Amino acid sequence: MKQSVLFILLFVSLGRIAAQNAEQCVAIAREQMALGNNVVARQMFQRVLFFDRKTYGIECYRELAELNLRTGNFGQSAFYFDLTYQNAKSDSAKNEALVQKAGALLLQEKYTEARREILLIQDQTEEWRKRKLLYLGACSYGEKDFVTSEKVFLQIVGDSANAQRAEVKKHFKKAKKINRKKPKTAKVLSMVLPGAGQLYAGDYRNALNSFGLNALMAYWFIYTTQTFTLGDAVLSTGSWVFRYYAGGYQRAPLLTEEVKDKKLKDNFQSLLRTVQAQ
Amino acid sequence: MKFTILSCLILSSWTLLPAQRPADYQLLDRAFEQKKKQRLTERFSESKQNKNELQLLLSGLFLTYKTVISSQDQNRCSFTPSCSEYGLLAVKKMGVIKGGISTFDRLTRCNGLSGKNYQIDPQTFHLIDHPRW
Repeated sequence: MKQSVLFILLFVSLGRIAAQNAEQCVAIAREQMALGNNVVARQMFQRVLFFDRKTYGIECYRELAELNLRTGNFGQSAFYFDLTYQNAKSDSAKNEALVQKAGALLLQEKYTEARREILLIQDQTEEWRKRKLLYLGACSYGEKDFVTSEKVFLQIVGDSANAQRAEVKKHFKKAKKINRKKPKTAKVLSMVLPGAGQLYAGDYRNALNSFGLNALMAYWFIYTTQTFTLGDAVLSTGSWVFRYYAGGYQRAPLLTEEVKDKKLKDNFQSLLRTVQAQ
Repeated sequence: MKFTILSCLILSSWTLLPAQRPADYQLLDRAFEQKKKQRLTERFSESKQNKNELQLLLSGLFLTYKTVISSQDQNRCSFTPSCSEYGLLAVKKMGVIKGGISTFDRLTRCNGLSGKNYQIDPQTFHLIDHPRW
């Protein structure tokens, strides 16, 4: 009996020495996060959540959300920011979590969902009103609703800054012009003349490449027709001619979307710099 | 005098430092950042590891084909890695003669009729066939 009690006491005391409490775990996890050991940090935070969700829940949710945002897991990040929002006590903490969640959604290009989160913000102060407007403007821009986005950004800039208002209007004029390009038009143009669709999209390198390759194939086809017969040319070169001709017009719409997306994003970044300079 | 010059220098260097962007602007900037396209030499890192001039020439031909011809084509090859990638890998792995024969063998099999003999890659839905002798 005595021996058993002694053993139990010994094990309990050993356990007390070796184990970390939740506070220490959070500290270690933060340290690991700062060092860039994201896997270890994530495991530690999840361990704390498992054992002491009540006390450290909100801290761990926030840190896990930040961690996922940093590592590019934007879906998980939005999930943890949502939990942070649900567990936050004050209005400002709730607002901050909503903004962060909207950011994670914007990073996934989920503009409508991000707008839904932003609209939940309680904008009682001027600072929150401006932040809300900034995100709403970004959401509208992402949804390609440039009219609404322009109105919002003009509100952010204010009535007095005339030069900046003009600059914002210029950016939106440019955005509308970029958005006017249609993938279907690019496809039709490429069908009429190989490379024309790529030229319309604004990708000059691909336009030249497509035109050159198709010209070469056409030359090969004509040469074979003149040297041998039309039947021979169709049999030997027809599939190659069609392959690159079809490839050109099938790629043109995708290329148009790609170039449009790139130009719109560049324009938005430039717009942000203008607004920020205020 | 020295102190004045020093303080002026410190102040001027301070203004030259890039201003820290507020977190909201940084986040939005990141959200509207263009995704970087991988360069061909990064995608096919094997094309950079050449042991002799012949391999260098073949790698060059492969990259030219990928840039000029394959970029204008539809997604036609039924295998993963594609026939051109297979050719490059085979030559690198087995040498010019064996690799060349292996590549010609692959080209004869790339016809859409041999699906049942291979496993399917769940990501690309192409038939998996790596170079082996």
